[in-house]
Amino acid sequence: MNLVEVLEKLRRETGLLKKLFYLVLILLILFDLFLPRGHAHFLVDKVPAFWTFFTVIGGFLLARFSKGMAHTILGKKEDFYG
Amino acid sequence: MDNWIHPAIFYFLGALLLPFIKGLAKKIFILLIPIASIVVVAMSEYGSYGAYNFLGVQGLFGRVDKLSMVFAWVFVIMAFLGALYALHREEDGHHIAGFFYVGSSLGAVFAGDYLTLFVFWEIMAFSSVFLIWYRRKQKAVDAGFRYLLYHVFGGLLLFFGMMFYYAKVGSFAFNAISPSQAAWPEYLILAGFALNAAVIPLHTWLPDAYPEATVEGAVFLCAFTTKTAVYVLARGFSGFEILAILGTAMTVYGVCYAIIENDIRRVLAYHIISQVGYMVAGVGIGTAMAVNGACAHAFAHILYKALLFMGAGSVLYMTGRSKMTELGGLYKYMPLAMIGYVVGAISISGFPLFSGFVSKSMIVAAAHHEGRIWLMLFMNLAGIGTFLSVGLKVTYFTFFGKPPANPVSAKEPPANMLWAMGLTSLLCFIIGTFPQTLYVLLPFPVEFRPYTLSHLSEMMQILAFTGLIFYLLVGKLSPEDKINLDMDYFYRQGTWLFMKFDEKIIAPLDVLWGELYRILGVRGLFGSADLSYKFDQKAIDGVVDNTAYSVVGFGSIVKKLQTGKVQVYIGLSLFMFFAILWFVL
Repeated sequence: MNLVEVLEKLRRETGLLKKLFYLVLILLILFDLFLPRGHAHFLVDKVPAFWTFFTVIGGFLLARFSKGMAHTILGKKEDFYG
Repeated sequence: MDNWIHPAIFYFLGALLLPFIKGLAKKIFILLIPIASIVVVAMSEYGSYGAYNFLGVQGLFGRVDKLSMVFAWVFVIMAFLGALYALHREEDGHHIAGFFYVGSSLGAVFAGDYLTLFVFWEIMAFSSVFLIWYRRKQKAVDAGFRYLLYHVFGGLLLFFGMMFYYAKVGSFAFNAISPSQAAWPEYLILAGFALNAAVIPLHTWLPDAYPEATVEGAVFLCAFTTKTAVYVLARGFSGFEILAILGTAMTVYGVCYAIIENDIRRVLAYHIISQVGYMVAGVGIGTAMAVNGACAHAFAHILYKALLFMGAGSVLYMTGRSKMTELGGLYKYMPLAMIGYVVGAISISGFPLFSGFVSKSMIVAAAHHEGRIWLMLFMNLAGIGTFLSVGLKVTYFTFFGKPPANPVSAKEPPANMLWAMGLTSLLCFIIGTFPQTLYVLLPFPVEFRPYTLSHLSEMMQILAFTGLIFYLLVGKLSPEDKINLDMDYFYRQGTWLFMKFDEKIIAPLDVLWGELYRILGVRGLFGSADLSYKFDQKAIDGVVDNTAYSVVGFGSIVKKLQTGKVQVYIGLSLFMFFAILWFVL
């Protein structure tokens, strides 16, 4: 089975992949909860699963802000500069 | 080795000899030049070589130390990979431009004084522009001119800075400048360097020009100009707070545009700004760990960014398209090129076992270590944007997304391109898995350990939850067939306004002035010519003629006195003698 066939097979199994992905997310949070925090000086080190919160909020804001800018003042037609 | 050989020599000589070599020998020759330079760099020993005196100014061609060597190493490796990727190109000129570009970058990295640096700095700009112009499209020609003008401006900033610096300190020696000693000559030099590092707001030349370059040229371009600038900043300006702040701003600015751009190579170009931002911030933080991080990241970045440009270039080369709105489903046709791109994408995003994980994190950790938490947070925010744009968006919409209405049936690129991608992928993996291979090259001793549980947990959370965000927002993130304005709007629109001003105001004024001149000026000219003719005739000619008449009249009187009789002459002489005597007494 070549690479293309593997990829096509995986694309048919989206349900399974989705479940696996969610499982990984949960495991990552659990992993961080039990991580020893010996050298925690700053808030980012003290709060368990800080980077999960940070990524979800930051990623959402970053994507929406950038697309928002593109849809309002930045986006122009291809031939804008002639 | 007592006599150091400058690795740039191979590139300059190679560029001159290339047109005389034909066929298979030419291909071998193109690969042998970077191999020879790799051997020379491997054999180099630290020291100062090639000191010269030019018009009383001390210069130095070869400052070989740890800082210059880490950049030299990656430059020669990249030169080989780039040459391999570009091997199928027939035009000698393209290879020659590439050789001059790499050679001058090496010249700049080893330069020990501003004069030598400036010369190589300018050769870099003038050779690299041909890698854009060889695309042979009007857009590329226009973008090339803007690129060149921008770099000439940057060169002038550097030139004026170094001249005032010379007036201030009496030397062109290029060494570390203390932030407390810096005045405006140093800041002019800094601005010249910052322009080449695409520090905002002097960044617009990069996303304007790189996406218009040739497929192979972009692979060279993304490696050398900005990283030479990172080197000179690390050499001269480490610890400058403004760099820490602007660098961090660059990391976020670049990814915001990378998220919204449509052309793959423009996404990657904006993303260079983001990545160079980490390096500039590292230099600005200025601690040993941060400067090490900047150098390590420059090394790793050159390889994975080149790999990404190779992948995007393969798509463009085989399909003639580079906009995500016109692509999709390419995994079926070019899976190997896709793997190359994906390795670059996961390296740049900082996946464990790949190079970004061991380089970028060093700068983030340095910010953390110094208590610069805001810098650290923005850098990690940019990390989210990196995986979102370069990692997920481009990969998904190019290789997996819905094929466009007029689908393409591409195939894998030529073998030399695939080999170049394979070797670069391997290097990304080796650096990520065995970070000591990179760390031994860094300018300061490395105490940083990337593979700790907390770092693994931090990066995996960022990557996995960015994946979740992409999954949830994929509809909102789909590419759009538009361009996005950037700060180049001001000078591009400014030029347009100037042209309009010229057309509406200056040109009519010019016509009016011409008309006025025709009416008043020409008439006045004829009038004054007539006057001067009359003056000549009446005054000048009159004076001359009357003088002549007087002389003739006087002559006729004198003639009558010349009788030829001696007694008359004696009588006249006596008369005149007594007349004078009477007059005097």
